Amino acid sequence: MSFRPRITAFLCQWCGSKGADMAGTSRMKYPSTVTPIRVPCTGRIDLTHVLDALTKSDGVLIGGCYTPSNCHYKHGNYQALKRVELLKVFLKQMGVNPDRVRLEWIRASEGKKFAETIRSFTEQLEKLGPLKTQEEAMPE
Amino acid sequence: MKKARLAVGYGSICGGCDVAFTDVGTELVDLAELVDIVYWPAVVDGKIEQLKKISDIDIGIYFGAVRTEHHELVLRLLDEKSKILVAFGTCPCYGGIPALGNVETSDSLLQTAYSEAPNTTNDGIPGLRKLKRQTMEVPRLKAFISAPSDLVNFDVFVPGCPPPVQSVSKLIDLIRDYSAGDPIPEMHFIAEETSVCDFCKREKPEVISIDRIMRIHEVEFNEDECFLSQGILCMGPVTRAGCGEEPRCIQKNMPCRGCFGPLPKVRDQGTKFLSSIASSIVLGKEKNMSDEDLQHLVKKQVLDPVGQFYRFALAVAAFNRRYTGD
Repeated sequence: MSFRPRITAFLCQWCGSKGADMAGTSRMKYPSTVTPIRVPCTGRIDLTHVLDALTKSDGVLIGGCYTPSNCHYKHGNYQALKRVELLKVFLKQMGVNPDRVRLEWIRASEGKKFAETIRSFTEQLEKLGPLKTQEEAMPE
Repeated sequence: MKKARLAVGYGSICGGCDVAFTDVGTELVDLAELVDIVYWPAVVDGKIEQLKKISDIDIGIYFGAVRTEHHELVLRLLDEKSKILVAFGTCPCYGGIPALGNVETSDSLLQTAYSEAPNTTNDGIPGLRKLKRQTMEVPRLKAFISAPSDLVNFDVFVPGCPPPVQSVSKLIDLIRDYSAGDPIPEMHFIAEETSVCDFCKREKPEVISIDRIMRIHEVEFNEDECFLSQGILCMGPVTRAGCGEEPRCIQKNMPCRGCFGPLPKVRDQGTKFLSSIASSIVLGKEKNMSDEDLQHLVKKQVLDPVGQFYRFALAVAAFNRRYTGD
């Protein structure tokens, strides 16, 4: 069987998860690889959550409101933007492809964009394969 | 009173913990009266056969992280034979400095050490297998460095790199109580339960916004104000206190490096700091710049997050070793 990636999605309650709802109510098709987790705001997502999710799944998607400046709580999206940027520097140092963490701005009305994001992210992760540590990659 | 039997085992160490132990001065005499030292490579005897023969250790102390199979053997033997197991120093608690080797694979570490270093003219690389010459044996390097606290259950933790004098005194007091028959509390930390900031006497502003992260030599800083608000990275907010009445580095005008490890209930010290420092960068001024500029600014400012934020606790972090193939 081919590799089927697992995605953990942290979606903000105002836009990201509404976008996912919209994709569902409009009966759009997208891969069943995603496990959505609703959070109050992307600014609430601590990097500990992201890294914890990344140890148990293959990719992490963070979905926030519209554009960074249009956060429901004004500053939340900026926190997420800065944190993810810094996290990518860290992941690169540990030999993890930074593309495994993806930040997307999805509006409540954009069910289509949500489905599209999941589709392209799944494809990308299929190409990357599962996350392997040194000893898993080279068994003795 | 019966003398307790004390054994000290080594993992991957720098030797600083031995020196820190002797820093207590005259209290060492008390220790000598309290215990019989049955095994301690720096003091009595350090052959592994010796440790295999000994039984009935009352207090086993472990220094250092687990780098080779030999280190693990010493740790397992101590765990099996001792009634009370003490993790002395940051390395056995959280992996410490040796765990920074996990940013590379063991193969590439050997490659660098034996062949690529500028002052080395060695063709052969030992590789990861066991080396045997007649009766002698060089232990195999493990695939990655682990914190001993992840491998066995310790009863007492003495964090610090190295642990300060008062921690060693407290440990000696603990040994005294134990010899007198008092029970030792479970998972006992010889440190405080709050962060370094709680003990720091510097003035702290309500909101910390950093325009540019500076190195300590780049700025003439105010000695009474918080390091973070002046743009100098200080690990105080995410680090356990206990290194002194006033934190020992901050007292000497150096920012905290985080050697006491994460706070209670936090496992991942570096990630917590990564989250908090990221939100502090140009806090409240993000709208004045474009998103690309902001991303670039953040990336440009922190060049080595592992070395800076995971300096002492990489081995217990969520991502604690090199990943390959990505």
